[in-house]
Amino acid sequence: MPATEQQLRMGEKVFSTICNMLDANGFRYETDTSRSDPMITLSLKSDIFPVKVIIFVRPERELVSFYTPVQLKVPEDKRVEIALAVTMANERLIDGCFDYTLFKGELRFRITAGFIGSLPDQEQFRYMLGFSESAVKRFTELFLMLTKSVMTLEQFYEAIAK
Amino acid sequence: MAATPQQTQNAENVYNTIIKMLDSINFNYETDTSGDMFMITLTVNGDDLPMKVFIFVRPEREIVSLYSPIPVKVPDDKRVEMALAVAMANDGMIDGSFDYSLSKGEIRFRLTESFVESLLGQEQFRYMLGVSVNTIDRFNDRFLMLAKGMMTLDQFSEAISK
Repeated sequence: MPATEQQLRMGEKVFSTICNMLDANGFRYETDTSRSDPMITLSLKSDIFPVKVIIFVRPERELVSFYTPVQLKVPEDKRVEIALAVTMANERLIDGCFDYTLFKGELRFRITAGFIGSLPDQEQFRYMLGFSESAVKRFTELFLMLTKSVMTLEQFYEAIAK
Repeated sequence: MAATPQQTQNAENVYNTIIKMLDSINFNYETDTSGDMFMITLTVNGDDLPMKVFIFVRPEREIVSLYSPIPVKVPDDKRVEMALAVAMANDGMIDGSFDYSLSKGEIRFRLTESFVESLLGQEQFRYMLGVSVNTIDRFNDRFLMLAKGMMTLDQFSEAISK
């Protein structure tokens, strides 16, 4: 169902609020407003691995989704083990989750917020960005070690239980 | 870290908004405000099975979490298969996710919303409840069939991709 005029206006406000938050924090980003769900893409600095964040504002659903792909392709012989690790990781999370495409061996972190009848503040989006970054940084190395057989599933479980 | 007075006040406002929303749709619920977070418990009738819903308002984190346990105990011999099914269910979901405890064989739906510097309206919480019920209704009988050996993982994958 296409967005109503009111939803489109709210979507635009939310999009601007996110851009203002990114500007205020000195982030460089790219936007694509030609889509029905306007998109913002940015890369976060990291010493260990690149962290790319893709933000979608979905006016018709009145939702904002932050997706952070995990820079890792899971080999076929590790895909079941990573599925188990993903369930362990998600169980530990209080917000957001790791989505795992089993047949592709791809992982991404997802966090979503609604703006139904409410206009989120910049702080809300700063929280979502910060949470995404910390979740991905916390788990990517562990997922990587598991796929490279440097770590067992039991060791993974112990590491995230700390 | 303990909540600040402002965070506690914000959480109280959020809690009251949820209560008003539940009252407006004539839901029966129980509350527990004795701990360091506000808890609301209610039962919702889905298409297949009744759903127990727990809503936690956490002042110190400024988030509201909705949890709904799926009334399925996964037998030991189905636990790995269920982890793959949960991964398939979460992949492509727009909001919320299923958490799965591999060691206990328990599944729950989780949806979180932050109220950092934001005023969330009743509509937002009605959405949270509605999307949770719809998502659980979509998956709970399939998880049950998989756990009971009445559906294969391939059939589960086909059913949820429709």
